Amino acid sequence: MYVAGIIFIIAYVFIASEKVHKTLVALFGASLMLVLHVLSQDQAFHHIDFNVIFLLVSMMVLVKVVEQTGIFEFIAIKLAKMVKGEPFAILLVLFFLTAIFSAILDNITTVLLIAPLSILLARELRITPIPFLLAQIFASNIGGTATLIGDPPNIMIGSAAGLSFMDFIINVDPLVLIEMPIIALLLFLIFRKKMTVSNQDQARIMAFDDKKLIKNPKLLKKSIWVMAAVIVGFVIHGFVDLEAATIALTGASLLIIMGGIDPDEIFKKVEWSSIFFFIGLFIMVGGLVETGVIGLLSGKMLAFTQGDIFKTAKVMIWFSGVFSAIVDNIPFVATMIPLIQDMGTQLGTQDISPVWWALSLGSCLGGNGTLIGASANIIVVSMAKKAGHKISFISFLKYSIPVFIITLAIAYIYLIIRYF
Amino acid sequence: MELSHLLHKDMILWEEDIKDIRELYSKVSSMISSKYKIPKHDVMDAFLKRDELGYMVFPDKSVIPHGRIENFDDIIIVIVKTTKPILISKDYADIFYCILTSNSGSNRYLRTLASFARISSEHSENIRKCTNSTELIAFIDKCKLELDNVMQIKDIVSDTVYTVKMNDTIETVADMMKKYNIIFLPVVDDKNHYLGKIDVLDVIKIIYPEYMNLISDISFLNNLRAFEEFDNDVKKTTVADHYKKADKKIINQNENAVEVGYILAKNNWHHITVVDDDKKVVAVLSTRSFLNNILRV
Repeated sequence: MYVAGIIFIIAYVFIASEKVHKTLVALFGASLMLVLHVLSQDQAFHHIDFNVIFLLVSMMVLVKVVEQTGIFEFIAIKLAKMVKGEPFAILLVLFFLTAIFSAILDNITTVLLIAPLSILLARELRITPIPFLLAQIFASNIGGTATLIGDPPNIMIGSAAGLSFMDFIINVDPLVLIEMPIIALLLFLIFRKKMTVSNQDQARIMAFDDKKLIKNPKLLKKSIWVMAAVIVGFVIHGFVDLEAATIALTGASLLIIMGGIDPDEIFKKVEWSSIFFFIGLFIMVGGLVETGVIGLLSGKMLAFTQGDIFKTAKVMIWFSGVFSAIVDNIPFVATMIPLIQDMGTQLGTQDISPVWWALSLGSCLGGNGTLIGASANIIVVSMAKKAGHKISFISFLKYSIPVFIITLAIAYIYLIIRYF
Repeated sequence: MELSHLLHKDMILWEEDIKDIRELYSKVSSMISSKYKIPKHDVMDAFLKRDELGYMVFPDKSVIPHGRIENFDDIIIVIVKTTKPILISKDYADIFYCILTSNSGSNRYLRTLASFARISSEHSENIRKCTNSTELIAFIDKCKLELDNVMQIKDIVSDTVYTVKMNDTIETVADMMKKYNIIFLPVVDDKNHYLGKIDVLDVIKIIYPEYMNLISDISFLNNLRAFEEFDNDVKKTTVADHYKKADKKIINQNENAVEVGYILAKNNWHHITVVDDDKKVVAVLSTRSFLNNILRV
């Protein structure tokens, strides 16, 4: 038990410090647990959640194929033109678009698509891109909360708790629909005066030839059909007794075949480093489960909350929110999952789903807390810096703390009203 | 062997009245033909063929015309000083170090070229003070120009080197690149120590910064603000903001000249900065100058 705990804590410190590549830390930690007989190889492989792995890989493949068509960039530029280049309207459309994209794609892919276009639009309008970029960071974390596939913690929670795509739509989306307009209003109050541009500069946006962004119309048509089928599949997967990973894997394979895509080329674009990070993490957490560390912790947590689901969920949403704002939410959620599962076993017939939703909301929305709260935040801020617009840790906090508190407070109230 | 050992009084024409380069090649060919029994037209053809590729005239108005002929294993040198400069490769020269050698250039041949290049840059005034062939050979003998040493990089690079400092604006960099027709500049400190490099792509990337690489296609843009405002932007930004520090593309001037070609080819580098033992920049060697000064010299 001690060996497993020590390896896990050291690995966690290294992952949080970001001094060593997190995938290497996770894989080395997992290897150590195997070499030191913390758990057997069979047990380790059993703890790898292949539903999560295949869902992640399949979604990455799907997104990388669709990305080639240029559709995502086309929509962004089309919307910027539809609002006639008016800067705050652009901020708003990109804010909502980022949230929608983040609900379907992963957050990093979304910001890599939208943020460069935002910087370009800001440069053309001769304004700072920082309001655009901050809005996209907040939207990506809120939007990612909305679906089973929007953020890796949701994929992990959904798989472990047996929650379907529709469960997320029904339980989380009403909250997201409340939070998005409120944060949009907050952005309006903060940035509206900073965004004045000349008529001439707005006209430059109108001169963009957005049609040129569609690069492969044939592939686009096929992609739309397959993506639509995948989304329908996600909606019904709970009813037809198929896992979300099966739906995504089928969609990805189908699109590769229909689009005549070279599998070798597309698999090169999968973020294998992230996949192996998950694998290493699952094995390490498996070590904690097998040695009884998780059982011990869940017992202590139950003692603290006296087996009260309401109290546990209330603690969980704030604890996971604050924790996810400071360190990577993936290892945190990976650790909390067996803990909650163990609590569920100890509590017998009680419905622990509010605790799962608290974990999901806290870990996803917590990403908005600080600059290092989510990988998407770091990517956008580093992109802004390279474009000559520095966003410091402290200056980020000035905007992120209100967003963090407002979104988590609303989520907290929502949780209470909805489940208790 | 020293350079002076290859020189002969009867192979030097000093203060000769020659009107154009063809006449010069003709006289040189006649001299070589009569002394070494090589058909004159072969020698003449060799010089004319190489002349088509053009030559670099040194700042002291000297030039090294040369020709190569088949089945010939020797180095023959004819030095000509004309009374008036004559046109060669769109420039004027009045001192001609004409060399005839074999098709397979030897190290000694390259050293011969390098030695004349050194005479041109370091001893030009003394050469011009010579009044006849005897004085000329005596002076070159005094220079002790060894031909059998391993040829070093410093023997094949030009003395003219352009550098920039950290606080120079990108406008200065762009202007220098345009003026001197170069695509790369070493960055140095006040004492000429190597700090890094800046190349033409670093300048162009001011218009297309890194975030633009993430946009899959910019054909939808009819114009680009950064493109229009380039002239202003380059005034506001300095070398310090854009240069590549700790660039590995440097080589010591005392390294073997043959090795530098290997390094360029192996790494797919198009240029390398030549430094001395104190890491001070002494020259820039490009693949083009390697081709011109060594392979197709």
